[in-house]
Amino acid sequence: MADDEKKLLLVEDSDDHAELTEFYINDCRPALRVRRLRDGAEAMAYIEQAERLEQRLPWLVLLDLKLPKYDGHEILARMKRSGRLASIPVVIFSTSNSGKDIEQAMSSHANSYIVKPMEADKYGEVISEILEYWELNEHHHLLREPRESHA
Amino acid sequence: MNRRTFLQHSGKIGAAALAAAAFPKLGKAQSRPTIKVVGTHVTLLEPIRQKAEQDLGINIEFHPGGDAEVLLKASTDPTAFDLYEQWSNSIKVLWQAKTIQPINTRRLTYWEEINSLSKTGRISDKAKHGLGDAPDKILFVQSDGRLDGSETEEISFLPYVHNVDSFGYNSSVVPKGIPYETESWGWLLDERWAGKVAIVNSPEIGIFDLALAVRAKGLMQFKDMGNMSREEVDQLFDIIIALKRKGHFRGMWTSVPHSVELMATSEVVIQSMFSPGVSALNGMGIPCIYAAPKEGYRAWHGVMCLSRACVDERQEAAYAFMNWWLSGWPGAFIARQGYYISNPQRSKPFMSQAEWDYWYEGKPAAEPLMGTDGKISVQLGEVRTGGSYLRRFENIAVWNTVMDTYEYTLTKWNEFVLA
Amino acid sequence: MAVTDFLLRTVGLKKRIALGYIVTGLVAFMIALLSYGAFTRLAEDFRQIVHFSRHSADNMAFARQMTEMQRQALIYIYEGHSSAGTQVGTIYKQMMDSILSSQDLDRIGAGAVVELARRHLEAYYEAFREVQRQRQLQDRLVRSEFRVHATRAQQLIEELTRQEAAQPETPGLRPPLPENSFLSFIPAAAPAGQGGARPASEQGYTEAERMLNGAKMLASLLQIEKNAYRYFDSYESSFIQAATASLEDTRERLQTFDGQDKAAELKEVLERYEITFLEAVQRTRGYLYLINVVMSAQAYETIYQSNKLSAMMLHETGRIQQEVFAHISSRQQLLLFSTALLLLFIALFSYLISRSITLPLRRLTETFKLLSSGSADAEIPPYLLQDELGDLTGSAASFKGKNIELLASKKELERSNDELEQFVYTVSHDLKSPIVTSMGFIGIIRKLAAQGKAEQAMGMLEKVVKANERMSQLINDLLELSRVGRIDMDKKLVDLNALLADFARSQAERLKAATFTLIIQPNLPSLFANESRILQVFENILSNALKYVRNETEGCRLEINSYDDAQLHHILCADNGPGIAAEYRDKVFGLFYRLNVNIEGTGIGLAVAKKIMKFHSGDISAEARPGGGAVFHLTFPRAEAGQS
Repeated sequence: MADDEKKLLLVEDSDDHAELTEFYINDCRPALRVRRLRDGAEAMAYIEQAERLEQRLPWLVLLDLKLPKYDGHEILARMKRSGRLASIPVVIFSTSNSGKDIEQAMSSHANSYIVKPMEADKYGEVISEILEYWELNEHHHLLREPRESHA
Repeated sequence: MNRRTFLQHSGKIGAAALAAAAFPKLGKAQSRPTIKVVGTHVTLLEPIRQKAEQDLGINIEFHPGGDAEVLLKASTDPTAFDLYEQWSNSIKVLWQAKTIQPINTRRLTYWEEINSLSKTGRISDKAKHGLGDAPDKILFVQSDGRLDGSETEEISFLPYVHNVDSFGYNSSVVPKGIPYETESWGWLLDERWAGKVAIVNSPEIGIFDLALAVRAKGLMQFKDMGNMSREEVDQLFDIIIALKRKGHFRGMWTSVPHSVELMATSEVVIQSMFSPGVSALNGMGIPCIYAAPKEGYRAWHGVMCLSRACVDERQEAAYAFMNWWLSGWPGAFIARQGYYISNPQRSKPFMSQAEWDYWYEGKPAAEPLMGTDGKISVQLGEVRTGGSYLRRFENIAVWNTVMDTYEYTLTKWNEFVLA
Repeated sequence: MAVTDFLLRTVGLKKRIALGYIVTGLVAFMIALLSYGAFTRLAEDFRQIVHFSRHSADNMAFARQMTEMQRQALIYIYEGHSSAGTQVGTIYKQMMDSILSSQDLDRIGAGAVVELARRHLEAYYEAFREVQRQRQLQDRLVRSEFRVHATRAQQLIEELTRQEAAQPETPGLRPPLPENSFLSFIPAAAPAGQGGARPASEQGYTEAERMLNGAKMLASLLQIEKNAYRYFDSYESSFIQAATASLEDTRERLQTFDGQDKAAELKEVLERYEITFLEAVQRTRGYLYLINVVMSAQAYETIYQSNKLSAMMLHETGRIQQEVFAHISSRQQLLLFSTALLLLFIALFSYLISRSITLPLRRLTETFKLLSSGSADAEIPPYLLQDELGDLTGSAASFKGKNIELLASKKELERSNDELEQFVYTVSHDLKSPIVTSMGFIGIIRKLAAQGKAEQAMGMLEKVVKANERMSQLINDLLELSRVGRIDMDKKLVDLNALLADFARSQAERLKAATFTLIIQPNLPSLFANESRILQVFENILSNALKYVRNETEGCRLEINSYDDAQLHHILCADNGPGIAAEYRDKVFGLFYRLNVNIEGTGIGLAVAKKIMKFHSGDISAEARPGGGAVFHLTFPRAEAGQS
């Protein structure tokens, strides 16, 4: 599977954070396409559209928690309730390290919870590790259930 | 004027006018004699006195009193009276006391009209001669001064008012009997009326009621009830005193009002009675029946006696009064009280036919009849018990009598009364 | 129970207890009163019985006296004892006294009987007086006149006989009769009337016959007297006839002496003798009749009425006795019943009183248990009276009030804790965000620098600066927020008209630059508030409007208006922007919440406004404006209402 076929959905209200994320993704996986959504309302609209249309689904979702209109928890819950989108790995990528947020996200079946780093150089490493992990995880996943990716 | 012309008249006015004409005023202009009449309330009535004074032109004083009182007076003091009116049972006493003088029948206007009852003791041939002192036995003064039935020109009393007595009973308690058939003197001793029997308080009267009752009950017999021996008196009183001690008698009645009160208050249901008492009770609505006993009545005869001390002018006035009494009006007057007069035919014109029929003939009253008080005393259709004058006087058992044992009976009477 | 409720509603605790005692006392008094009534009645009945018993005794004595009186009367008559006559009078007086004292028996209907007894007694005594009179008259006749006539007759007969003897033809033929020859003749006396005198003829008698007749006359005279006395002794009427027959005999023999003066006188004497005798006889009969017939009947009637009276009194006594027994029995029952009833009443009443005390106490205990466990909704039992239990109920109510307050403050505390937590969370997130940004960009710069792309790296440096600037902005805003309610919060009466007019002037430049219209309606209220903070609220609302309102057709506009109701001043700040969707209308007042991240701002303005409004006991809320746009609705308590 080539990187150019893959798409990552980034739900992030802060332009600065989105720029950072997109920069480091581009830095380590130049082929991976990033679709950015700016707030909860856009995310909800996307989910509803994706459920209806036979469009190409993202490979991975990076979801910020603190969003205008609908927050990340709501988006997560909505996605995991959807039959078509539930299997897409959702990585919560937020500045919050509060136990409450983590617990809520995990109980809403978030696939991973990563706190945005506050050290220089660390941001790129975190993005790179997320991508690597989920690329690896995808391979294991494909081996176990090959037919699903074709569907 | 003779009797025939008199009887041709009828109606009260005619008779009254004749009666007035029949008595030439005695007093005339010079003097108006006064006579004293002693007697009882039965005949000493104010209307009679007034009528007599008016008819005769004399003064008449009435001195009514109790039986014993007037008899005592008359038997002890001839000056106390000119005429004495009482019962035949007082004649023996008076005659013995010699306070009265014989009456000469030739001076009696209506002597011939006086019926046989007084003269022979029997009103008719089939009448019984009652026991005791029948009027004839004490009427005629014999040559030896005794009184007996052989007719002489002198008589001890003027025969006038008379009647029969019996007992009365309250028919709401005592079952009504049949006159002369079931009604009996024996009823007085009937145990059913124990405690509610009274007897007239008079030994010369009540003793005969008791004797008749005792004989009717078959408790004893008398040789001569009209003149009992001491032994008979003892036996009679033994019986009645025993009864009285058992409470059979309520007591004695001492006057007619007393007898009325006893029956009116239901203390007594059967007792000796006089006819005015019966009338009074009937007037009060109490159904008192005056019995006609089968054994016969106890009869009495009124007597009018002339005082031994009555002489001259007063004697003339007394004779006039005696003649007036038999002249018709007084007889009619006392007939309305139930009494009979010795010459009833002369009174008949002074009565209505209905009155005559009721009082003398024993017929039902054809109209309501007035008494002497002007009130109705006899209701329409009523019949006098015992029937006619004749019927009643044909049935005389005994006459009121003062017996030879009089004083003895008095003491026995006291024992009886207080037993 | 209705009675308990009534007591609880109307009668205080002390009064209830006192009422219990009073009612018990009253009941005891009533029982005593009932007993007293019963005993009074019994005593009265007993007095009646005693009264009648006494009368009964009197009455029995009465009957005895009557009998005794008649006995005395009879003794008087038959024996002639005058003392017995006096005794009759004495007894009569006693009996009349006794009758007069019985007048009070009228109330048992015995008046008529008493009256009858009195009348009969009077009649009895009247008859007795007459008897006495007759007895005296008879006595006088018999003892005096009778004797006078008899003696005179004897004298005359003797004189007549002496005259015969004194005749010259027959001197000494017969000795003169001695003076007392009367008695000496008795044995020789021939039976009266036997061989009576021959029919008298004037001259047909011999001397001897005359002498013999004289002797016989004396004998007859003796017979008269003897028979008369026998009669008066025995009351046998045959002696009267015997006496009168002897008189007749004497009279006949007297005819022998006809023509002589003495003979005429003797005849007259004999006449008077006879009359006297007969009168005495009649008087005897009279009083015999009176005593045996009249008096006995009156005596009997008196006794009868007296017995009747006794029977009536006995009956009355019996009736009263029965009544007494009935009364005793009924009173006993009544007393027992009423006592039982009253005791039952006391029991019931005590139960009610104690219940009226324990019931509220039990309820209060229950309530206090709940209250002590911290309950704020424990029911306070209703108790209206101002007594001890009322106070206790009041305490329970204030206890409950405290519990309610406690619970409220606990909730408030929890809420502010949550708020604080939220604040910290929000602050930490929003403060971390610029750090993440600046650190991220520093990493990029380092990378670019390492790759020698200095120019590109320099371009990134601006991002770092911006992030740090935002950071300091956030920190300033936070400080500002913390000042609200802490610094410069003195309040005064603020005239909104004046305040907002100044505000409009001060913002004129800014508004002009943004081509924004601020309309302030007149007649805005005056508020008791902190002027600068209130101004800050309007600034924040205006700033918000300036950021969000973009209306090409109408031109951007904010209009401030107001109205009042009973409790609140309402101030409405309406714009003609895009409005706020219903789901964000509460969120917009959250700290650092921004509807649009690309619009400049920290998202703290409305949070500050909310806090200021809370501080003024007011509130702020977002609403939709009809025809598009948002309305910020401020409420202040009315000064009057707030002060009261």
